[in-house]
Amino acid sequence: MGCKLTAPPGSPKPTPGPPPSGPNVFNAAKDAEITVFADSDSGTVHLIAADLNGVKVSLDVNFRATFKVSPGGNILSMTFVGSDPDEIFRIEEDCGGGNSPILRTWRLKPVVPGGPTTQITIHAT
Amino acid sequence: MQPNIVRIIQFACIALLLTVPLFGQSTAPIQTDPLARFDIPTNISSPDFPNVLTNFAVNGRQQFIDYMVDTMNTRAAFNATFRNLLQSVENGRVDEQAGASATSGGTASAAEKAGISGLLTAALESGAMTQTLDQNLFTVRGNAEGLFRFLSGQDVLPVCFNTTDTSCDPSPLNNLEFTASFDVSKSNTQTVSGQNPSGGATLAALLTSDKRQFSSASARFAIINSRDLRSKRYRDAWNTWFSQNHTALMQAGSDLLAAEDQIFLKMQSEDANGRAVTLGDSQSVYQVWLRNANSVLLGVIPRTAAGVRLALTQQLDLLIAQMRSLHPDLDDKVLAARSAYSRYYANTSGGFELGNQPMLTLQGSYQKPSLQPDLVNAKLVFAWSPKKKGTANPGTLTLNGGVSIYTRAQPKDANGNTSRWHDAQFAVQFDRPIDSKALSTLTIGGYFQYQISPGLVNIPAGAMSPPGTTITLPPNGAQLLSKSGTIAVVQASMTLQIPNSGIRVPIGISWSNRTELLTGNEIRGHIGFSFDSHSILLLGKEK
Repeated sequence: MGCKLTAPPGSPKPTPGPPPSGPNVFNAAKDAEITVFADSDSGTVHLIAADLNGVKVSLDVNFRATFKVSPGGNILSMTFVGSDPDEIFRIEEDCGGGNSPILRTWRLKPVVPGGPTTQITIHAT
Repeated sequence: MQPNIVRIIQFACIALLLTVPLFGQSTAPIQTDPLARFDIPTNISSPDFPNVLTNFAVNGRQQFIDYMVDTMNTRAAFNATFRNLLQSVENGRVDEQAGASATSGGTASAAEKAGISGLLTAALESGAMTQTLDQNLFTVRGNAEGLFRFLSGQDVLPVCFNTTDTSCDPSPLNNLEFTASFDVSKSNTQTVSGQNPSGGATLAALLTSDKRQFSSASARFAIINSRDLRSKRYRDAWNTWFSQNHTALMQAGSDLLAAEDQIFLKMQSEDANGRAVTLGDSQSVYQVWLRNANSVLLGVIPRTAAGVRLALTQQLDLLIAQMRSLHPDLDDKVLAARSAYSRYYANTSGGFELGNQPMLTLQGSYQKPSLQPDLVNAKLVFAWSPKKKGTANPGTLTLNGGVSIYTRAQPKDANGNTSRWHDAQFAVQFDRPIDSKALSTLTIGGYFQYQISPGLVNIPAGAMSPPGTTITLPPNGAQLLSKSGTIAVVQASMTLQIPNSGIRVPIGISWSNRTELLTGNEIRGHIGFSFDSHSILLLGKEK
């Protein structure tokens, strides 16, 4: 299982530290099965809900969302919780084999950019 | 002014302070800047400008919903939502000590609080509680780890980029704080009488306090510091709470997304003519608006916060007008999203409340009271929040217990006996925020000091006798024993804070049955000003 999501050329790279950073638009093959999750230094941040194009995506016991990329555009919306609103955490793709690149960073604090929910757009190629 | 009139005013102030909570229980509607959470002053310098501000579907969904709620003028119905709850978390801590101790010459607090500063705290306070001579004390507190990181050019609030990097974990130094207090007042004069330990003669002198001198230094270590959001104890407690409540949290999170989708998805999947387009398509209402709004914001020259704010407001209002044509029931959907948001945070508030767990701090200090022998003090400070209610700290009970000893043996009577023991102290204090944003905090406290040995005053050479007396003072100075006994102080104060600024202003009044050197009741006023740099760092303007 390799990584499925790729950021378009010229996209901003995620960088450590505040404010949250990184791309919010990705490309992926149609019908690709993708798993995303939240990772944090504190170990307290969890993805607790996700939907793709308004349709609920079930989470597994490790709070990971797995979905299949639909043709055209896809909007993945996510809700998170964590113990510290200021903590910068990572939204990662589970590519298997222990490989989980950072898609972007985020924080729960509702100051732009931040909040309990966010979205990424995935264009099917 | 007549002494009786002064007393009446003083008691009126005490009565006012004690009854203020009755008025503070009903929270007035909060009027805030509808664009405050867009943090325009910071984001105009972002490399992602203007997208960071305009692309709210990614960068701030609830901030945009907040803005819509404001434009619908229904804000008062949502005062208990996350924005206020989070502000309470940041502003509502009442357990952090800023100023000097109750035994100093200038303080606004009967008990020392258990909390440790995050980086650097400065306080200026006026009005003694137990000391005879009033002073204005400037107190600086510094967190050992925070200062080390700051001085060595590291992030004060570090963030790691992967879970194997431990460089951002707090070290034990995070629980260590150093404090120094300095007297910055002009000299203060007081008549003091007592017994000379050399011979037993009764003496009285007109004493003038030292001025602009070092007053005390201390080191504090938080043995139990579960209120630190970075502490392992807090995180472990939070994870346990999460595992017990994740089902309800997931439902609330899912409901929140569904409510937001009702607002955001349609404008991302239809064009201006109502035709369906691919989600995220460049011709969708949202993407067309986004390009135009970005162009307008880039055209704001010079790029000032005021200029960007005006342009952003106009662009958001334009989009809301378009959204109304897409959603005839937009107001209902916004209110539903806000309600879902409230439920989400009602669920998460239980986790934040874990930050109100007990704290225990050990403190050692070296004190140099004006015209008195030097002292060393050891103290244990315990803090406990007895009740949980929302995320704002519902109140913190603080208990202090300690002993003070002289740095060297001092006379304890006129018979040549000496002792190093000075006193034992106990203090209790209750701090309670009286509004949902903790902009004001009521404090009621009591301090009790058992003087193991009588108070001792160093009469300097050349001190004057009190006017109207014929007492002759030894030309080379002398010591003077005051009466021993118990000092009891009760105190009431109100602390006002400017939210998110780190600035607090305590104003209070105290009554004591006596002071260290003089018998007789004392009523004193206390006022202070403190600044906590950590609050500024938490605003996201780090480094």
